[in-house]
Amino acid sequence: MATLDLGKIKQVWRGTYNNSTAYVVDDLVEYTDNNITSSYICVANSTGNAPSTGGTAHASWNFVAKGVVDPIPSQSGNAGKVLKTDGSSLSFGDAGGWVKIAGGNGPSSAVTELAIDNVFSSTYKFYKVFMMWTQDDWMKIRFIDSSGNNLTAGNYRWVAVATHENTDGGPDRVGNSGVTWIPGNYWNATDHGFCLIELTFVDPADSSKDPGCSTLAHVNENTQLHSQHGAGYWYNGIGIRGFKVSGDTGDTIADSNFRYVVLGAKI
Amino acid sequence: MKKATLQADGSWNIEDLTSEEETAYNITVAEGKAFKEAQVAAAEKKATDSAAGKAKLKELGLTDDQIAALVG
Repeated sequence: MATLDLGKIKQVWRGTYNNSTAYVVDDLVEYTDNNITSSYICVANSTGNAPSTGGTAHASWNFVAKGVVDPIPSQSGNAGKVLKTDGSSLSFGDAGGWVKIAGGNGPSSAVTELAIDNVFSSTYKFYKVFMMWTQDDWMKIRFIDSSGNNLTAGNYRWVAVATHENTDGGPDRVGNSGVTWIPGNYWNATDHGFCLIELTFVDPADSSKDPGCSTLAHVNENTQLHSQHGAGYWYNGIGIRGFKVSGDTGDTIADSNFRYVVLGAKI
Repeated sequence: MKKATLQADGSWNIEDLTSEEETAYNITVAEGKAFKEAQVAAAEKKATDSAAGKAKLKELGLTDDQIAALVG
């Protein structure tokens, strides 16, 4: 009885290419050429012919799925870095200057006191806090230590200087020691007015230093505009992880009148 | 009185101030109010003294420009 050779009736996976193996038509292999791994199909019986060289397939092989160079550079030695592009290639590098740590509006229900807690750590050296509080009053700030305790004793010292428009006063200098607060904006703001408060901290989590911040506040109080710069600190070395803000009796903090963002930067 | 504390997911946890927190808040409010009132009183006294001083300089025969040049 005559025998009819149909050849292979299906392709055969032969694994990673071996230079000493005799391959026949329809054998499939995996092979890494120039750091690029691809799969190949044998199109002519072949022994000792690498499937491709320099990206070009040998005559006895065809590409099935051609690999590409890994677009992500080696991660080794790049812990904590971010993947960046220059528009044409990728590399690992440092993150942008300031990293957002927290931010948003005030709470949906009005409160008397707001604790922006757990925002400072040893991860960053410098922190910036931007706040808006359009309340017809002034803001007081107190720190929260690294254990979560409110620093409420009279250990704060602060100073502020301001210039004013549309008022007889100023420039004014105010300051105090041994009090239980430092001012965010010392001069009053206005409901639905303009208010920008900026605090800058350095090493707030370092318990060997007195925690403090510079304060900038620009607010309008009806037709008057107040522009304030100053600083305040707690005069006992202690690490802080956050701070509290509050106003006077009857003042509220809510999503309608309060915005904030906390940024951190490494050195 | 209520306080809102920032949570890890960015939300606010709202709860009542503890009695200790309320006491601390009231102390801070009273302290701040007293400080501001003292500042206002001092500023008003300074303005009154300044006006009285300028009036006396004028009685001595100085012109307004001369007084302004001296004391602003």
